[in-house]
Amino acid sequence: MSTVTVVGAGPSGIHFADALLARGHTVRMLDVGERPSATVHGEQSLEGLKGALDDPVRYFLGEGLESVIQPDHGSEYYGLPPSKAYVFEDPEAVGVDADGFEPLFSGARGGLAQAWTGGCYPFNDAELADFPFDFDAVRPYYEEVAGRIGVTGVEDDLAAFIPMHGGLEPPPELDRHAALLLERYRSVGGRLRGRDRARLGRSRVSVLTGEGRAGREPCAYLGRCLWGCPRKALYTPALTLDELTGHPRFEYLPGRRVLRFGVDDAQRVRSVTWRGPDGGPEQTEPVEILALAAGTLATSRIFLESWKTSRGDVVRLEGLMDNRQVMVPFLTPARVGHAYEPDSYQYNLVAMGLEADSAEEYVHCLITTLKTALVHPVIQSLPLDLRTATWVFRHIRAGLGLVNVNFHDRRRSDCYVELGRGESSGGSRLRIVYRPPEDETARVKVALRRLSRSLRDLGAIVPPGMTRWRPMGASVHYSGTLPMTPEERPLTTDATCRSRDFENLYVVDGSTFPFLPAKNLTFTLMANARRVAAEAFGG
Amino acid sequence: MRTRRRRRSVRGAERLLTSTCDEAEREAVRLGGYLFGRPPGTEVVRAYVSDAAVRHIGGPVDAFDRTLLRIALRGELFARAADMYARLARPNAWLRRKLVLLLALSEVHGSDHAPFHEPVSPGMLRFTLYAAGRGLITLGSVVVLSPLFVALHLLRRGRSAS
Repeated sequence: MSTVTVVGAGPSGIHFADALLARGHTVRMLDVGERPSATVHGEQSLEGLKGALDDPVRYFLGEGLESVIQPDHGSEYYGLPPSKAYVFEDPEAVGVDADGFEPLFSGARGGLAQAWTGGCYPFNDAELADFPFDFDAVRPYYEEVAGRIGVTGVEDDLAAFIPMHGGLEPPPELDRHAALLLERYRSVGGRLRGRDRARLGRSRVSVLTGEGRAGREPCAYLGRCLWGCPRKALYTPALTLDELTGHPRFEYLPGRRVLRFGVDDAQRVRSVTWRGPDGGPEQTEPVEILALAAGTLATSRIFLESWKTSRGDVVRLEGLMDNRQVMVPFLTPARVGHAYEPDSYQYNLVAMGLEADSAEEYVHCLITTLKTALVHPVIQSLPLDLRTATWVFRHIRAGLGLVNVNFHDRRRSDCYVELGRGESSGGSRLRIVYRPPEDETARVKVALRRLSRSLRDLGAIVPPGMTRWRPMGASVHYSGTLPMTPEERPLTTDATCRSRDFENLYVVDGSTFPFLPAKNLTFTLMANARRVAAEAFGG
Repeated sequence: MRTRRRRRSVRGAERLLTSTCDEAEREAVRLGGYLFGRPPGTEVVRAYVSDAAVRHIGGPVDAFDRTLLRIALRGELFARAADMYARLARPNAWLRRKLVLLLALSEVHGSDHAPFHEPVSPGMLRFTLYAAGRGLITLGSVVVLSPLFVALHLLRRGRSAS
């Protein structure tokens, strides 16, 4: 049995560790380890909190009002609540120079997925064509993850794009707006499928709807998904980490930002060097086997820094990918004047798939009907004076929704990461360069036209001029810098995510993905980490 | 009748403010009166004048910003026109930032968040009629005050050119 040092406590690292422990190995996990503040008023709904809290401004908007979204804020319709501020690190403090990319980093216990929306969409065979395995090979690991974290879903029209697997729970209850869209789809679905090659169905999300488990209770529709579910119904990786910390062969070591690893003459990893999140002296400790799971950007930096230190030359990791996301607001007139439903599941309950000529270029649309949220960003975005905008908003609130349209990405040589000039507390600065593909604008426009037509058939209107392209980096689905490839070449990994440059180094996060479909990758990150644990460390 | 009642309640709230109260409190009451047709609650006013709010609103403010705010504080129609002008011509105006802050503070207080979610006119037809009426009021106030805004706009351009 081996002792594996895992760097990073995001979804990949935690599920990799869980699977290793199940196979009898010992795991040491090095992590920055930022923690959230305590949950407030466990059973209050989000609207109830507004009356129950002594200081609602501090809870909802932050001590420095940092969650107030002013007109110059940019392209977002939603702001992050202060309770999730701990998830993200300041890119300046991390030491990043980005061109064409707005990266997000996390030092949180649980990683960036502590602020995810729970989407669990397995990749199908077309999307896995560049991976060294197909859906059937990874299916048991999807099922293992689903059983561990609780994933909801039903077999509906979307199954044409999103393969079915075992371990699915019934989906959360629909709000009336989402139910209306699905009801209309039942009558106009044929037209959508034929003309626009669009299909509507239930979202697959990681939320408990059946029985509680491991200290988690099923969803009670408190509308607090984004703020931090007090019942822990919405899965976040830190919940699994909490479970693992009681394991006798698991050691969680927070307060360690890994800078690089050290190798011997045979290019075997022998040590890792880290320092505290706020700086301090460097410390080195020995490792037997190292697994990098710090997230694509942080993993890439550790790899680049280690390469430079051990081999003396500087390399560039090409192929950085991320999903382009476009936000499309819509209004369903039939819901105008109705009361909105604050006590409901807050995130998307339905999703739309747009088939592409090439199956792997599928476009995935997450449809969120507006329920609980801070709404001043939406109100001020209306092209009206604020008094009229507030009045209009309150009447149309129950009919408002937002589609998050996701597009696939491919590895390209003009999207890369390399070490930059200068130092930061996190080590050498990281330079990130991203260039969108040439056909992107045309492709997105075509998809948006199809989406608008489909929404119109479902009885919804897309207001002109309100569609917003999120900057690259905003979707946080980073991947592709150390890909799994069939051919042996430097700066790649094999089918078990083992480095071709350092024999006892594994890379178990999104860095190894050779292709990025339009779907949220987190479910596949967790499944792949478990697959690597099984195939490289004993079945 | 309804408008007169609302105006009275905003003025009543202003009278309740002590003579030593901060100018910012008066501002919160007037802007709140414009936004919601009634003065904001004391907790919202307190949050509006807090150090955090002052820091949040802080930043470069020029004479045009100050003039726009002064116009808005003259009354509901003035505020509506100034706000609409800012929305179209200067989205990040000081006035607009203050109004957005007041919106945000109001929506998180249990006693003040009703204007954000209580529909009063069910049905698309009534909504359309109401909305058209409100749109006409806004349009009318912008038209009436347009000479003033044109003058301000020219003044602003002249200053920035020099």
